[in-house]
Amino acid sequence: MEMNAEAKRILAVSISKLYASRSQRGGLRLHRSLLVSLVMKSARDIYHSTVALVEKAVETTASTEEAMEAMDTAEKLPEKQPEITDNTEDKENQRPVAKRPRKRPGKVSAVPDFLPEKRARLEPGEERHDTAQSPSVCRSSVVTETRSALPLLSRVIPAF
Amino acid sequence: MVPSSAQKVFYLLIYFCVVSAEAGEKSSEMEWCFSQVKGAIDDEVAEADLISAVEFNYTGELLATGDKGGRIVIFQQNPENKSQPQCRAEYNVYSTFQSHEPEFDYLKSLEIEEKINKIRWLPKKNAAHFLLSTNDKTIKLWKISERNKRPEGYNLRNGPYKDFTSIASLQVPVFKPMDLMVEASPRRVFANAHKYHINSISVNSDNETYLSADDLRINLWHLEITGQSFNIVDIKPANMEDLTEVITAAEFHPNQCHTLVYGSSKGIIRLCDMRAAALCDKHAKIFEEPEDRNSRSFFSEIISSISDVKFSHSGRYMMTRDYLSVKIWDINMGTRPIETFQVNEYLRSNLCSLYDNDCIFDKFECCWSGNDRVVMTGSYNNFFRMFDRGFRRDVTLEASRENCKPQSVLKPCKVSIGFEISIDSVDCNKKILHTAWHPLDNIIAVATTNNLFIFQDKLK
Repeated sequence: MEMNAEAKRILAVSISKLYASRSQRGGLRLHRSLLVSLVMKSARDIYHSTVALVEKAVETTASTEEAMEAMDTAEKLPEKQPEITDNTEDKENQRPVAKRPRKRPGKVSAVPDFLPEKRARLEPGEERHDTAQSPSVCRSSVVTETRSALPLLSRVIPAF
Repeated sequence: MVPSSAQKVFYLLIYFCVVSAEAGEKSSEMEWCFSQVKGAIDDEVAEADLISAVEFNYTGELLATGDKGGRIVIFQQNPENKSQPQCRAEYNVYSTFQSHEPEFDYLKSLEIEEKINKIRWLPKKNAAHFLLSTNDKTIKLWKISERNKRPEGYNLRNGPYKDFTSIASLQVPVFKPMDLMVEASPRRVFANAHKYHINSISVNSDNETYLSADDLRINLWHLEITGQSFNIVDIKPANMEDLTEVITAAEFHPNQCHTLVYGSSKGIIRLCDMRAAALCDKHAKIFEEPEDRNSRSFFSEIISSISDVKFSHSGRYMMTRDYLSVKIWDINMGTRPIETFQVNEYLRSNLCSLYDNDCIFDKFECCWSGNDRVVMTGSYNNFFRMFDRGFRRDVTLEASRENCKPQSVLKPCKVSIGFEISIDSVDCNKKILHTAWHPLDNIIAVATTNNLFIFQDKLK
């Protein structure tokens, strides 16, 4: 877990460095950007592998519990069979069985929480004013900033 | 006890010890004396004054420095003191000029810094001196010449034009002595050949060509031709998303005009032979040390990146500098270096903090002594280290204004690492990135942030 937290922190620091390098004097430094992206890649791999390990552990625990329940129900099965036979005659008028949700439990958002805040960065001297905006305007600005954040994760270097 | 991944606490024990070796051994050790310091004393350093390049010329008579403001200052060895061994490292300002100005690329909306990345002297052919200087995009050839005579006695003008009707006779103008004036004039401008940032220039031993290297390409120029250059190395991938390696340093062999080497961000050095093909993408020899899997971390790629590569004067060896070590390679053997010197291994346990404050991206240079026996490189806390290859000894010295008494002997610093170390003890703002060694004498120039220290060895 410590490695996971460290990987997240390094990812956040690396992304902020890449953002800052865009505005530095002299333009984007290819060598430095490459090194930062390599660090990001290592941290991202470790982060995802630890998340996958955690999820696997959760699934293993859940399947173990289900197996335990299945073993319990298997013992009680001969008593319940006559009830099941009665229910099959009028399936169409039966209340629909609650389906198991397809979404995995515990996963609130697909967006990793190590991404920086989606608010625009201000120039020095500017102040942030909260203005009433229409929902459509807010949505388009969020989409734009989200799109700009994604290439940094998937692409190493912007094309010259 | 395994240290935690949280912020580590370590302290740097620094204590001085006087070199009190036996007389027999003392004769083999060099002792360094302070000679001069150049630059402002102010605590607040203007960014334009940061020294970014230091280079002796081929005779050691001239010492050039470049700074972030695009200026070049040339110091000349005092000719009167050349015969006095104790004062031979006295350098005075010879010439100062603005080499590069800030520019703006309108197509890419990018500002081009005027910072001098590299200075390389040309061998002297006549009375004038020539040097190449480069910023991120443009290389310039400068001619530094002296003028100590001027013509006088013109017929038509003596300052303002004369009234020609008043001229009764003619006279031949003659040269008369004047105060020495050093002029620096740009003779060639080599521009628009690099899409990426230039990191190296190197003059060929044929004295006609030189190379310039950026992150992805190396170009070959003729000193007389500015309109075109030949691309000899190109490692740009077809898809930039597949980029895994960039060129970080390049140099020509000192004697073989067809041989060059370049180092990369992966810690690999490639030797190319221009006789093999016009495009030297395929290396003739590769120098790569197997990675130590046990010491792998998030920052392994960064610390293995080559920051400098230098051939020895003999041409038999080459030296590479990465973030933590200096390695000496025999150009006949590419499997592993023949010598490895740990410059600041104590930084390895604190790479995370150095990544946070960007110091891990610092590019330290290295240099050979004139006889190739000693190598020198800089570090933090204004320390610089020398490694004696012959006697397997190393010494750590400090460039500080506190030790500025003329002819005072520098006391070696002993750096030990205890169990509890504080990162605050490592002053990352005081770093020595650029050093130079006189080609024919034991005189060294060490550049701190904005000061240039000159030391000479104590003659016994």
